[in-house]
Amino acid sequence: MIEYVELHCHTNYSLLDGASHPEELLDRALELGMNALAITDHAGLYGAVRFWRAATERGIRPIIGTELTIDEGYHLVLLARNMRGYTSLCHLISHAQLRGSKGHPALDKEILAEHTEGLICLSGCAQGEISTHLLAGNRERALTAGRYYVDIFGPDDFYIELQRHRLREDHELNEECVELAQELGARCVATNDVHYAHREGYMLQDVLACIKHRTTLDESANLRRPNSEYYLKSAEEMSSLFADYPEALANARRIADRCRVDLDLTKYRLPTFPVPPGETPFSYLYALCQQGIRRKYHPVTPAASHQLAHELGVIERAGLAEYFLLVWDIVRYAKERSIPAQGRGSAANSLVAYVLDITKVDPIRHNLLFERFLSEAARTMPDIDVDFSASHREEVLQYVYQKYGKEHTAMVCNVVTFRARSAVRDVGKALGFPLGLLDQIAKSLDTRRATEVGAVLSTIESFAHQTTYLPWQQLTDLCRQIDRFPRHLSIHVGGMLVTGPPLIDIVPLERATMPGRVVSQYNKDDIEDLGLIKIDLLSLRTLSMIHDAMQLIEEKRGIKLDLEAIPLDDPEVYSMLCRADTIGTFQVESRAQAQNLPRMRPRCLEDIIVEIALIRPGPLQGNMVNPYMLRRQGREPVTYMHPLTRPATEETLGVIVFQEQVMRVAMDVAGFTPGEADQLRRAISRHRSHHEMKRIQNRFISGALGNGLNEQLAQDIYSKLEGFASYGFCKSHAAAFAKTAYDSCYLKIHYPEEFYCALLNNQPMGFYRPSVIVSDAKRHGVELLPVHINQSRDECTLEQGRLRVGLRYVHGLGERGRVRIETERAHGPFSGLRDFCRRTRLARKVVEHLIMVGAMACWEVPRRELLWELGQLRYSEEMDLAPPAENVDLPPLSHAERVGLEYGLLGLAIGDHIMSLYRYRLDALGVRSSTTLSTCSDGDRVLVAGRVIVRQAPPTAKGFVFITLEDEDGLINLVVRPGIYACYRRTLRSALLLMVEGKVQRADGVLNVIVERASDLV
Amino acid sequence: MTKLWRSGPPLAVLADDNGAPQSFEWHGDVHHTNTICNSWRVHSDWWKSSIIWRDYYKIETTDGVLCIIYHDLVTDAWHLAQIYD
Repeated sequence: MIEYVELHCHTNYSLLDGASHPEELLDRALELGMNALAITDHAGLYGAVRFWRAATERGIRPIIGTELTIDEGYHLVLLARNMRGYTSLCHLISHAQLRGSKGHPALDKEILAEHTEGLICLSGCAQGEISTHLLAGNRERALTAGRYYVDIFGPDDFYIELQRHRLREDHELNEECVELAQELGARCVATNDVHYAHREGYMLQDVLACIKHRTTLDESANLRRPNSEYYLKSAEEMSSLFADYPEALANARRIADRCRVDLDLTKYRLPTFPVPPGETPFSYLYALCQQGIRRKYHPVTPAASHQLAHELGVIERAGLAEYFLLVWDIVRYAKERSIPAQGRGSAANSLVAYVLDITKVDPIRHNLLFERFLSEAARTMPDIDVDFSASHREEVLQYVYQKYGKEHTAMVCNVVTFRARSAVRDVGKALGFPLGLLDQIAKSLDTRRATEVGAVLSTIESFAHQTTYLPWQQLTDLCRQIDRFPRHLSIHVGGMLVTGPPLIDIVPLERATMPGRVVSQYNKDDIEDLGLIKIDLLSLRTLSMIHDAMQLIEEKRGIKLDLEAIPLDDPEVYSMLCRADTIGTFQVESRAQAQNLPRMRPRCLEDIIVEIALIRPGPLQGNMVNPYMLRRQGREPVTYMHPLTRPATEETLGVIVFQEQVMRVAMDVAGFTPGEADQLRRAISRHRSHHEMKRIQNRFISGALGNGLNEQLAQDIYSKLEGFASYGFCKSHAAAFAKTAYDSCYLKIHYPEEFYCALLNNQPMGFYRPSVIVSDAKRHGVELLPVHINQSRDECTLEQGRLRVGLRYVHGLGERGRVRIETERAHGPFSGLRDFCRRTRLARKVVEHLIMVGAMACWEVPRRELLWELGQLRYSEEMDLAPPAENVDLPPLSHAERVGLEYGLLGLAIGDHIMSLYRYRLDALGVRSSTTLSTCSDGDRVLVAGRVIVRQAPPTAKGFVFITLEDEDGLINLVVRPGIYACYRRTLRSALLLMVEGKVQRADGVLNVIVERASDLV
Repeated sequence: MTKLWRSGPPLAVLADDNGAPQSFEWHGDVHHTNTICNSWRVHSDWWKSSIIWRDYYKIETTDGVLCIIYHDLVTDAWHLAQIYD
């Protein structure tokens, strides 16, 4: 029986040069009866871990390799025979990447010679050095090159590739290659330089080539492959193609049999942590915990000390003391510099993290599960995220780089993939669609999934009738195929990899766009699968905001607030939450939150924890929220699926809300060990393969049966777990966030000026734009002062409790401009326009903006006159034209004009809200304001109007669209059914000021208007 | 002089089991293949209404004619692409 293994194979991780996902290639290999497959993407191992995992699940042996570009542009394929070979790959890839300019990795041949151990080298495609020379008729040079490779790899580990894609030059080239191999004493191997799993993939491959070279299909003849022969071919096809070279075919099998790499890097994962003399990492950790527990618990309860002992035992056996010390040290560093820091994520489940001050959440009080964080049985690595204030995170990163050295630290990468809009734009461009049309299509897409482009377009009137034409069908079909294809790499927001041995031995590296930054080619899932550890050092603007607010409070009121000491039961905070008066606060601010808070009516921190876990951006399952809410409101009885589920779900009225509960149920109902329960959680939330899911499901069912449940009930419970596990929130994470949410509410109530000032100084952040925050501030009694040329700083400031808007809000001013103003002003205030212009030398347009927003009102000259005066000033770089100097009579700016200028040039309304301009006419039409609306009853027909501040079409909302309007007094929430949305699509999508007619829906303290008709107010 | 067609005149061709042309009829005459000097495949223009998917053969006939014919894999028809004079 003929056997063949493909050794030269590109996945879509050969960015824009590979038209199949790793799984698609592996599935095809499985169909073809192949039990091994290589992955050889360009200059990297980006897809290697995913490939390795997927291959192992399918019973296929993964062969890990890469195709590198050598100096002068020649290609070369390298395959790892063993772990030593894997290390060589990491070195060579990193060298190539770090040496060339970003995006053009190139390896020095001499470096190649230094890292050949454990590798098998294949000469590459037609762009390989040997082939290139042969094609150019330079046999001598081909021979020299060949000798070099045979020399450095040895005749057993260097093969000349023979490829047959039915190209003109194939026959002659292959003959010459065989001859050359004989002369060199080397062997040949047959490969197919695969770029897609099935023949049909050639079309997407062509499109990717166009995207890569930014051109269209019509104009790219020499950039595309001439035919569709680059798919994964069967052993039969290959043996028919290479009937004259059976040895080359057999060598593919032989090489495959020599390659065995197991990507388990667990033992490499931790750097040594320097501890005081006489201590080991564990003993030091132990001592720190003992000190810590005494600080946190007065007295130290038996429960606490028992838990601590248990956790420390697990940590010791798992060998993770250094990990905790690593994180403890980073947080300690931050705190010493007064940088706000708080740990969250599954880490917050541990008492150790709490007593080491890494987290602020008491796991005993909140009944958290340690095994969610760290389970001994599983190979799972702990995951600690630490949030720092956004403005200080960089400082912390630098500390880590310096402490552990550049050799041992790198950022984790993130793969940006094609989604609906980018797919439409890039694929459409390649197909030759006009760019304007593509822009229109892209902007009208409500979905993120490129697979849905076709379905969405057919619902849009202006496009629906086009969809039968070939180009449109091709567009939607190719978009479907390209969904989630890797497009390019970026850096993961906070993930940092710190390792024991030098990184370059175990992880391929490349440059990041930021100078000096090095990033690993593996993303966070890969890191986890490899058994390596990353710490997420993230930035949270809210922490900066809180930090700034506290500084202002100290400065202005002389109060040094300690947020860890404030009472957690302030009734004013809870009543504010019940009213959903949460603009500007953390996590409880969004439209969805505002809809739920009046129903939830939180009264304690635990309620906030549940609120945050239930309502989050991302998938919102209708039936996930409702059962809990219904039971809380007493509308549904509290029942349990089975008595065994009670202990886990009692605190949430029988409904699964937290991921920890998924684990507890698995343990209580099906006898899962903590390790197995964690695997269940992980498998579901990371969308593991069908095989693995089935295996876990069977384990659960049989465990449940063993506990006396019947099969149907066991299946029901399991489906519930499946449903919740993929987006159930981690309780400890929610708890950490709840504390911050509480703090932000506390500040908003008790120190509103400082709160809003800090909020405006840390934009962009949160759910709402600055204009909404400013309106909210005014409604809360904060007085705003306009931008003032002599008083405003860059940032917003407080003047006797009034909020002075900062220069940074003036459009077009820019940082340099702001600096110039402040620097000049230090020499004395600006006395007039001429003085200002002369001293700051700002561009005319910028000065115009300052005038128009009223920043120069202190000189008591009307704005139009100032503009006129500005027009008369000569700017040296402009033309010498003298405008008429006689006095002109200019009408003052109208109220409407001033309001318009504020919105236009500041993005906020310090004075009146824009709706106030329309109010007179709206009143005459019977249109209600947000205040009068609140007196309506359920079922009333109303007309309302306002400025659109939120427009949401959540993917799980089944076509419903949610819009929030703002007027002078507050907010109005609208719900638009899919049918109505289709009728008024254009208006609803683009109107800035909207007027709608609809019916009031009022329930549980929440008021919405269900829209029936809509029109643009302007 | 060389005559060259992009979508050349149709031919009646007899091919062997591997699809290689053994003989073809052109202007009433039957020509037999002496050597197939080269063969290659093209698959392109899929985004247009006329896909090109062809196997080309450069043939020297027994009567010394050098030409290129192709097998259109979409229509299964054979055509003449080029004749060398």
